[in-house]
Amino acid sequence: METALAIASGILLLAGTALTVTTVIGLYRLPDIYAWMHAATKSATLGIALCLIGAALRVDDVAVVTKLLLAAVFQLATAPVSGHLLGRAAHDTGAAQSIYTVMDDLGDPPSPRD
Amino acid sequence: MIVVAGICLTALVLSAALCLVRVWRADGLADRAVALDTVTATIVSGIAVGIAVTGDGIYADIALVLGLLGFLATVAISRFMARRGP
Repeated sequence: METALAIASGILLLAGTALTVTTVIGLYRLPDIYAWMHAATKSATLGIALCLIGAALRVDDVAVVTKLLLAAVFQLATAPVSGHLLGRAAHDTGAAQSIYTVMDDLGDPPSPRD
Repeated sequence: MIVVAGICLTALVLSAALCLVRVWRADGLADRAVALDTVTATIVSGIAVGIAVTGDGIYADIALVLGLLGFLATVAISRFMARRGP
């Protein structure tokens, strides 16, 4: 049982780390602020959640497990909010859009980009 | 377990360093805020790896608070941008 938990925890930690590294690669490779938001919000959130769950599998104190799972839940709840706020603020201040933009829903009027 | 932790921590430290370069060379407040958010995410992941390898839960509070602090920082920066411009 101990070995199985250790293996599961190791797999979760490696997956979470891979997702976090993917976030940084995305920050360097993606074209504009909205795509960076996509990388930083989605993959980083899941990466943190996987790392925290992997750590929770290795700890045998109920209080610590609760804190780790609570941190994961907070990440899953707050990352969409912060990404949405930052994206809207960037759009309001006129951040540049890449040439691959298909649709600008916050534009006035909402229009496909030509 | 120690091998997994070594791989994870090396990758996370490299990621955080690349993010800090991104913060340094950013061309705008939103770019900088996204990069700082990613630095926070990397640190929380590293704390989780540290808890897993030592089995010591004393750092769990730091992971919890740092996650919330990153959220608050991003919200504050976006409110500031909405009021003051980029």
